[in-house]
Amino acid sequence: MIAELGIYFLILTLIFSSFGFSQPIFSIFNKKIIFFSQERLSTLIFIFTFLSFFCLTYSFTISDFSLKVVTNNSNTQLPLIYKITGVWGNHEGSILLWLLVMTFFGFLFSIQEINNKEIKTKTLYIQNSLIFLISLFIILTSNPFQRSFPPEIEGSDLNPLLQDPGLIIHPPLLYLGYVGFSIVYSISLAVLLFKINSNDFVKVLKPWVFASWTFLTLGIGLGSWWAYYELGWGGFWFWDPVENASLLPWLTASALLHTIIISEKRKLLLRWTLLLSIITFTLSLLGTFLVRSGVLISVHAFANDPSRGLFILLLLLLVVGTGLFFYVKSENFFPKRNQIHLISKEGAISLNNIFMLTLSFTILLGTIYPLFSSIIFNTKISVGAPFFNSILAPITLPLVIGMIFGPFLKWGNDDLINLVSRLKVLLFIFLFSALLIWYLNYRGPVLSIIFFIFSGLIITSSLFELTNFISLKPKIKFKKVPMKNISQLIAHIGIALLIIGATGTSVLKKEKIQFQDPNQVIPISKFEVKFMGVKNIEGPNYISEMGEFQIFKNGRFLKSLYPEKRFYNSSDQVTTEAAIYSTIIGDLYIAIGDKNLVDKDKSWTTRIWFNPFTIWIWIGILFLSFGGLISLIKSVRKK
Amino acid sequence: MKAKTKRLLTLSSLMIIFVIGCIIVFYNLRGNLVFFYSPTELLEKKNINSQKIRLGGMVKKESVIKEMIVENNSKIQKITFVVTDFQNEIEVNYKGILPDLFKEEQGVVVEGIFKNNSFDAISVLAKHDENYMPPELNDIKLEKVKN
Repeated sequence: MIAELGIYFLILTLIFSSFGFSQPIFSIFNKKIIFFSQERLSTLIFIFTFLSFFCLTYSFTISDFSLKVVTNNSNTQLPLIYKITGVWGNHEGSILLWLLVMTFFGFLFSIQEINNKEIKTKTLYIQNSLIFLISLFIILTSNPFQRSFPPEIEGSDLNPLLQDPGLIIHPPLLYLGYVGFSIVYSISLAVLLFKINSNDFVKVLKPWVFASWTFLTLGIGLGSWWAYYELGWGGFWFWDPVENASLLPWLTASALLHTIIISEKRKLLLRWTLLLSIITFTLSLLGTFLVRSGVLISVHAFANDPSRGLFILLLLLLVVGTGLFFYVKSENFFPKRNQIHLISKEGAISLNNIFMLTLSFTILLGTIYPLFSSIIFNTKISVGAPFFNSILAPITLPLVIGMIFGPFLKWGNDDLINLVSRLKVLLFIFLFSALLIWYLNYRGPVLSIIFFIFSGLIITSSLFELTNFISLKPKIKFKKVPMKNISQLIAHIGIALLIIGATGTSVLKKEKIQFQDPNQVIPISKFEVKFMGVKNIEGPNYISEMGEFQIFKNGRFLKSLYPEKRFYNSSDQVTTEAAIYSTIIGDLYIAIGDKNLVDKDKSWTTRIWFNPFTIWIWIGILFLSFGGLISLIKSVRKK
Repeated sequence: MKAKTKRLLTLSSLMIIFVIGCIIVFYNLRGNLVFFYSPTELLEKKNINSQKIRLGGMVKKESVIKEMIVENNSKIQKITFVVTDFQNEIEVNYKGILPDLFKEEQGVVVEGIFKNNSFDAISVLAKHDENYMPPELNDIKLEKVKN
């Protein structure tokens, strides 16, 4: 019964959202026919989708095994919280969550106060049409309310890897990011399609770009964190197609974040901003659906469910096609003003955009190349992590240099000699800090030294920027630092910390795998790890072998760690729960494997890593998000 | 300089940078490709010495042997198992900890070097999901169903 209500609300969403495109078509013939105001429509659609989502959640909590999704992704033994998060731990439910977030953003936009009513109505036309397409997709190919007959007695359990606190919030956050760009797309397409003649669309666009970017940053960060501690492989980024898919829109959105500032300040690059918005949402769509449909991992996913794959492809083509078509058509619409000098803030930001896009398209190439290769050459290949690492390093360096000097450039036109004379003191500090960092690490690999030095310079230059707001003469006085500078400063420091963490974790990590006897001590980095033994414990829906390790540093006891190997009965699956001791200089990361099968030997395979500076990755991501949040608050307040 | 010549220069230099960039990227891509073979395909290939490749198939039933060896004064786990595509088999050696989803009679992908008819795995690939199958394995599975 509840499930029928769920599908009923979904159909209502479909029907009502269709007014998004039928309204403007009707008003071509007769301007007086108005079915609903688009604002009211958005509210209605949001309520319907919410109710539908609620019905699915309810079915999961009561373990209604007459529903296929519930049977495949839940179990009566499952703790309640994981029954609920199981809703988005599968294709059907997660697409419904995607729709919910999309209607939620439509609703938020509809209640936002915007002076330009035209932008508002027309953006909602497009947003509601997008909602129509997604709900059509759900109803036709991914209906979560499909019954199975006869109903099963017990479900086959949620994938144990997904039974984790990280997964409670990771998908919703990631979707808030991905789907937030649907509004960005809708605004941009509305401007291009209806030729809205106003420059203030940038102001409308801005808060949504910052909000989506912030959520996307947090979402990716959480996903990476989850992979780090849950998969038990000691790394935080694997260049897996699924991960790359989330990185692509993040990169273009970061480019957008920078150009939108030029657009606002200088009324330049307006079309470019719109194009980036369209590209970013296209990549978000691509990302979600690559993950969800398996298009990328396999060409044969089409064969498994041809309708789903085909629908996705058509949707993507429609979104990107419409966007690009009206982009090209609007060529003469915006005034042509090519007044960008290379040595200026605009110039630096334009270069930033070029590098960001290059990075994002090379990653895209590496990600989908296996797909082309299997279609065209009929060879099965994969593109390894070394490819991505080898393109990341050379493209990151110019971006980093831009981050160091860019903020000091002036708008309009600047020149290098002037810049150097302004930054005399800073250059001196640079030299000093570079030498210091080099001295501290000179034995390490070259790559790590380079990145540590440059990250150090970003932090120095960001902090130096603050001195602009202190006047020494005639009296020491602190001026108020503008919010814009603060958010940029925090975000740039965040990137620097992220680079430090990523470099440490990938280039400098130490690993030891062995059979470890009880009471045997393994030294790693500056720590000693003593193995105490393994005992069996019982969890709510699993049994676990829990190892105990004592960590010492210079003979002084610091902490005990308890890595586990869990066995989940209902799905007959094992997961590794790594134990991590985090310090500011690095993480001690321990996982246990099998017991030694040799008689009378009580040793276990243990895997011990020392990952330098990993914690700074997460702190960096928090900095980034915080910077985004400040910009968001500022741009909302401005209205 | 005329505006037109200037624009031509900018454009052509941009094109050159773009082309060079593309060549570097593709060269890089070529160098980092890892080819995937099934046991049958791998045995047919003659000239893949000391090149990193991936091998995929099913872990043969009751073929997994775990033993302890001593290397550099520390005891490590050595694992041997047989990867099969139901026509041919290849023995795989691996030192370390197997991923959680490694099981007999389940799909597996190993990355490493094939030499003298045995495969030294550098890594046994972890999967996110027990139901996830690399497409290559799906092909093998389909063929198995057909036969």
